[in-house]
Amino acid sequence: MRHSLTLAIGPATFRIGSAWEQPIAQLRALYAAYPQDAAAIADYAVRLEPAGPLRRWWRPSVRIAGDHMLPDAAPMALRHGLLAAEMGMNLQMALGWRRHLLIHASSVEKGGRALVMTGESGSGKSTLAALLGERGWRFMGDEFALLDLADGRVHPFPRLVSLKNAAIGVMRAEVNDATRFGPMMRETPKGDIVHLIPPQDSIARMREPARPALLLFPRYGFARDVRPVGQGEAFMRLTQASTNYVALGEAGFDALHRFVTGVPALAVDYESGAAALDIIDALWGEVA
Amino acid sequence: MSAAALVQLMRTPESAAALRADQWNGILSAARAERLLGTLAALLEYVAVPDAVRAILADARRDAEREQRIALWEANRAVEALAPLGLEPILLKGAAYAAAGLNAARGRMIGDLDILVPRDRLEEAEGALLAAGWEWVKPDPYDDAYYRRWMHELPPLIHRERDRMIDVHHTILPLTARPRPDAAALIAQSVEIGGGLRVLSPADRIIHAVAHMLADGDLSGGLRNLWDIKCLFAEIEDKSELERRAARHGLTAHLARARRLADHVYGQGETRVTLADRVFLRRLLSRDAWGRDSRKWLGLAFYIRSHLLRMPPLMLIRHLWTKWRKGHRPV
Amino acid sequence: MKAGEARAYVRCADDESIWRELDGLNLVFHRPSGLTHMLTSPLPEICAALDNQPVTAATLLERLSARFDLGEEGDALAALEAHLAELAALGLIGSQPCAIA
Repeated sequence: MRHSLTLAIGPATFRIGSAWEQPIAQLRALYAAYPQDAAAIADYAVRLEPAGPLRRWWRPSVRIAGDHMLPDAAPMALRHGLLAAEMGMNLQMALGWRRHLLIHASSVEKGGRALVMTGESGSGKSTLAALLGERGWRFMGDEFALLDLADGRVHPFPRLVSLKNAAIGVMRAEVNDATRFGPMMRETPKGDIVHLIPPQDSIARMREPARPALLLFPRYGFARDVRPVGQGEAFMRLTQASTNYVALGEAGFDALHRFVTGVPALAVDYESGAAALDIIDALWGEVA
Repeated sequence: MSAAALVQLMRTPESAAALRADQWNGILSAARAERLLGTLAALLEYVAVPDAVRAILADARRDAEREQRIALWEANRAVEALAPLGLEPILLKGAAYAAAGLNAARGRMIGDLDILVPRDRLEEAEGALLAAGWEWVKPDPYDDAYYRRWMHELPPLIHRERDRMIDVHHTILPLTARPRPDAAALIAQSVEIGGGLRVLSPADRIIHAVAHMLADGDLSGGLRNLWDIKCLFAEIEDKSELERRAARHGLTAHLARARRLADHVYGQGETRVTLADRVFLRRLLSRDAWGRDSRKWLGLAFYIRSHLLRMPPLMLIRHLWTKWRKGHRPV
Repeated sequence: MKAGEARAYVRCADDESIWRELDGLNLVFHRPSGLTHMLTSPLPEICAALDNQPVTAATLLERLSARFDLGEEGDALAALEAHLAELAALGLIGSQPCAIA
């Protein structure tokens, strides 16, 4: 492909090829602190291709392709090319990764122990992890938590934080460094999106796992409430939140069983970021 | 071309030591695109490769093992569903290779379950599968009518709880194809392998793989099909029986071409290939370093060719038109 | 299965599935299918009551009634037969045609 970049995030290495320069230049800059070894053997190839024969120039439209693909993925506008690349990498992980149990969750670490937060999009798990990452925790990832199949530890996958809509303002107020933010992409299929480069420490320690200590199911926009989640329910909810539970077979079953029996799980409803941080502080004090 | 590098490595696994990172990247992407990564992993199991490659191959090996286990379970469920009818389904393709412990199954990905039943018992079989939890994938009146009238199989069924597809065939080529394999003879010669399972005879397995690759498809996935054929050739004892069966099913020329292609791609390359073979070879080896099909125009030609093989021209136009109007494109 | 055909049921080999209990729920990983099932009472009890000797639903019902209160016999047999068919379809127990009804 005309433009390309090899990039390591946590344990995975991606080779991203593009028909256009712009998305690759943006990735190169935003991921400057990550390993970019052009001579590396990649786990996956991601391709940003013109959606039709003329679409490299005329109303450029990006089709996300690669080693693993969704047959019916809708093409995206070139100005959202950075988002397309991120989605392409996520897709490879979601469909292809087998070395850990992959849970759609954010995670942060303190004192060698990890807090894992899982929930639907809009639950606030991503913003909460980003906030905690600025307040004394190590940010481990906002999208995928990788559970070790052998020892149950959580491995980081600290890709760029994908801030959507209101979360953009929240993090701009929190992070006093404009160079850590990517370009504003308006009117994407998910609304407005800005990427945030994780803190330096998070990138430097991206190969360092942590033992999970607490699992939260946060829910934004509900009156403050904290209630325990039973192990059986946690198990079922996490099978739904994992993209490779079925593909891993028995190893996934064992890893998930170990996780839900070893880590306390709570559902947390909250009305504001500040309230959530309060609750997390209090809960962490109890388990840590 | 990365597909060429892939088959070169499959021919000579010990050449792995000399590969550079960029060559590995191309080979791994081509192997994924051709659904041959598990096969490659099996071939390289005892060969020294870089750590990054070893991890990728280990994943592929586990995926293939799991797929095979599940395919055999699906076969077991189909046997169970059809047993009350006194009907023993004949496994085809990947599941058959796995159940019979053939070399072609090593590392092979298996998707849908393909079974063969006598045409006059198709309706009964369909009823029993529906009763056992399989459902129509997508009710589309045109596709459904098309399948039932012209295809060699029922429209695909999917199990509502296990989410796995089954294709029930009554012969091995569409009724519109020029060669007309003798389905009754395939069934009569099939062999039992235990557990209520049957597979085609060694010669007929090859006949089916050849028909599937050269008389039925658009050659997409052709490298994998050809690998199956290469492995099946190596395991057949009675070569003259194979010729007789090919003649009986009207596939003598296809068999000869498959033999030349297999030798050229995966073997010693001593057989002379024809000019037409060269077109097939270009199509088979068309993956580039990014796993893309670099000869798409050739793909389109093969799509139309594969339909010409299967359907008389007027019917072809009607079929393509109906597909394109709904937004389908062959490439 | 044909209506009215008698079936006998048998326990599957122990290594075919892995059982784990979580909050009183039984989590079962079935190796041949790669599927995870969550079973609630009375399904685990039914599985546990089977052994290597194939038995009919009626025989099994006697076995279970010695241990549990199962209500009206007619209803209980129909319910048990439905549960057995379901467990057999999942592969968690074995099922075979039975010569003697």
